[in-house]
Amino acid sequence: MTTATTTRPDLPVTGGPGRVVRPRPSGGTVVFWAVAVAVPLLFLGVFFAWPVVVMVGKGFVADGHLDLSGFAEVFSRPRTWRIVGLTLAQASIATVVSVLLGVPGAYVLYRRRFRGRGAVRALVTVPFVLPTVVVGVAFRSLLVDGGPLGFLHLDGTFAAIVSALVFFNYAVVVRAVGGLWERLDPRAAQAARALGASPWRAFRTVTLPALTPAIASAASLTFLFCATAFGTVLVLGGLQFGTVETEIWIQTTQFLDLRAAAVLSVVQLVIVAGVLVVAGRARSRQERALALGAPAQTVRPLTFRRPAGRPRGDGHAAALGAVAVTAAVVVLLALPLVNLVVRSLRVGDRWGVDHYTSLGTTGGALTVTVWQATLNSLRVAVDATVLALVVGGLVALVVSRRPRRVAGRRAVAGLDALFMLPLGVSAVTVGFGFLLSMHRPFGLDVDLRTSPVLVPIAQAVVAVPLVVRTVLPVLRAIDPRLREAAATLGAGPGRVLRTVDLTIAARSVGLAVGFAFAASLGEFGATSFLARPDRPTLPVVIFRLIGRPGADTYGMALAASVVLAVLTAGIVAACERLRAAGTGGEW
Amino acid sequence: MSAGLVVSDAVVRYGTTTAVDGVTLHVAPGEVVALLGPSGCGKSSLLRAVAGLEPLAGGSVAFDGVAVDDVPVHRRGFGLMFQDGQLFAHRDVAGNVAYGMRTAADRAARVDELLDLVGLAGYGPRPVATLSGGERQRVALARALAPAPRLLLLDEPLSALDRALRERLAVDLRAVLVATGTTAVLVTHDQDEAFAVADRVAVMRAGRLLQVDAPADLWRRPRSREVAEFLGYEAFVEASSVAAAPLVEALARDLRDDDVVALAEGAFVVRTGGGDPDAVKGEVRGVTSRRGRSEVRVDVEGIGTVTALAPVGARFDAGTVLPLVVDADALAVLPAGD
Repeated sequence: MTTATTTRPDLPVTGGPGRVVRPRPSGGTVVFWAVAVAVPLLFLGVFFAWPVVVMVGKGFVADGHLDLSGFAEVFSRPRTWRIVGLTLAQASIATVVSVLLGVPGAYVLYRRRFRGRGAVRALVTVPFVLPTVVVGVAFRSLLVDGGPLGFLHLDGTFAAIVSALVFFNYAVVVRAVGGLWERLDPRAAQAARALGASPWRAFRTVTLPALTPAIASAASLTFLFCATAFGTVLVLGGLQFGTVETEIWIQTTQFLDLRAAAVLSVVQLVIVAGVLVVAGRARSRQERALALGAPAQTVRPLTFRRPAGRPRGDGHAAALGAVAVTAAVVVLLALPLVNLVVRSLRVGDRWGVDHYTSLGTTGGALTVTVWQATLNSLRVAVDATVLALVVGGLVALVVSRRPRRVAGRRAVAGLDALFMLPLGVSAVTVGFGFLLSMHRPFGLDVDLRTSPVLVPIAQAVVAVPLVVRTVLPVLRAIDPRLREAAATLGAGPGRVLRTVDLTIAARSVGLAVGFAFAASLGEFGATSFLARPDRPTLPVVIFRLIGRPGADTYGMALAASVVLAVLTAGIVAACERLRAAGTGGEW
Repeated sequence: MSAGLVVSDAVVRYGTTTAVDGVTLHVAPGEVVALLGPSGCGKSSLLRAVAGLEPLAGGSVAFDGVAVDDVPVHRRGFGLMFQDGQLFAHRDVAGNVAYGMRTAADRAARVDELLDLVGLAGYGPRPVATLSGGERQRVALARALAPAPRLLLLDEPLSALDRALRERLAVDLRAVLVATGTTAVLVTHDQDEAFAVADRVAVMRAGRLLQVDAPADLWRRPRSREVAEFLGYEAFVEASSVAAAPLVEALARDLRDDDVVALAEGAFVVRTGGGDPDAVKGEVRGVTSRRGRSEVRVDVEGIGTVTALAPVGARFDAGTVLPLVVDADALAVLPAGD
């Protein structure tokens, strides 16, 4: 070490007593952050806010005047009240059931260790990434007369819809609650036990309050997904049951009543905004959560016999109860999936792959073959994923900053909430809004409605919040002092971003790509409005096939659903694997 | 133009609270200065302001005569080592050390050299997750030294470690800083650590510097009662009082009447061999043990309760009256008027 004091010719000679002396950021830094804020704002402004505003305008503006009569008229229909009531009832019941089943599941799958746990965790996650149309088809094939559970006569009932929603959202609760529970320091509960609390009381008074933010956050997310469910409900509900979301679709495409659709979109917006506020509160509490340990210290092996030396009444029975519930849920989750595959291989009274070979045809009902639609879906999903990743990545980066100034912090919090809106605002609203707004958008003489670029854009709008929610927690978890350490070692803002933020976030980007791709592949709400007849996507094709009578087209729908399910699950699994490999690799 | 670090009238505010309140400090090239103070005294804020991580609400920071207030963190050429290391978990040991190096040439050799310096030769390819707390801090030190910073800032570098390790590492840290000729500012609340590592110690309290001196001078001549109390002086007597007479005698020098004599732990030692009937007497309150040696809390008339040293294994019942002798090394004279 000969260079104890190096001379720095590049240091500016300035000084003198100012007020608050703060190094000025370089021009490059300012430009970068300006672009990072502007690109997502512009994208969501044009492709989300504008269509929604145009559509809402349809409901309230008539002949250039504010006209609220549409509101009164739509709300005087008993049908509207029935739909709103159904939406809330379905979502509430499905949320409660998901939480009641999901909390024991989180305990078994994240707090205990057993052989095959990884496989069970993966199986539980599959329904969450399945396209909604596939979930609908899988449940129907299970419940129809002649199906394995046909004797229950649940086809087309309220219970069928609720169970499909639970099927879909169980993983949301398990993953969110399990993720926190896994790292929760067990010593707080142990302290309670030492103070004389029974296992149940320790759970109720110590563990459960610590988990509450995660549970509340998962519940509000589940409620949101259930309240805006579209594909599943459309397939299962028939004419009798629906949500606000399916009603918007029906009013638009069946009754051509755009005003009613617009009013319902506003109702949906209000519900969603309310739930988002609750979710945001729960999330900010969770990020303040304390006393977390490494999973290795908190996870215990799962044994069916009471471990030697463990007295009775020490919570072993409760653990076994959780195991039993979870085992039953896992079987029920697997049932529709297995049944879907089995039924797709039944041709009349024999077994065969005829339905799969007929995917190369149009089945007499389609404009393209199912394989062509699959190719379309993949192409669109690639574009949508790239878009969502760029926009969502920038949002996460901006929102993860903690500016020193209060105004800056408020602005960041505002952006955070703003970019979450598409998660709740229905895909149908977006798709419908595109149709209304992209004809001569902003007075330009183009008709974007016929353009094939609209489909990936709409899907990207839907996928952006998923990317943000996957990448943001990782960026936020970076200790700010790690960036400071890099800066004191001579790294400029760009290098800090590259070597600290991006390197660490890269682990979550794999999963974000998976989620975005899966969301795009399975997207049905917006795509059903926007897909050109000659270029349908796979979910659109499946929906068309099940709308046709005939055993053969139904068999094709089942086979196509299996293809779509395998594609999505495979891609998510590959992306998650990518992430796992990355953590042990060069870093 | 003065070489080294010059902090003048630095003020750091968080909202309405003032963490650093007009601090002026000079660190000469190659010198190690410790900022010593209780938690919350503003020492870490001062360090972060020097590093450029906190904006200055007033005053300025200059190095080698050039103000650096407008220079962003990464261009200041100041290294910073954190209490918990803040190693990059996604890089191995060598990757951490190499992070701040400016030249690609003989990078591997430099990394090896630095790891050797901090006593971790051959650790380069290890993932940082496999290191113990002490090893992590050694890597953090090597990483901070790698860019040859013109000033190294150390924020409680050893506080997260247990005592035995802390004492050993303090010696190593001093050796490394001296060997590399690094100019450094160390923040700590641990007096022994400050004395072991630093050339000069700055005692800080409530955002202000109370005294800056070499460890021995600080110990012998604390400028105020506040400094003396922080250093561990536990009793204060006016030189003119009757009780102070044996103390003044032990100091063997003339004191002004209004000087104050401060007594650290061990200012009295329990006398074992019989003797002098005029010796100071202390009544035992309790006995504790430190490194085997007994420490006796005794009440001395006119002085109060102080800690006297006794031989290994000595046991006394409360209420026993013991003869004491004075150890002048544990006495300090505070200037009058405080």
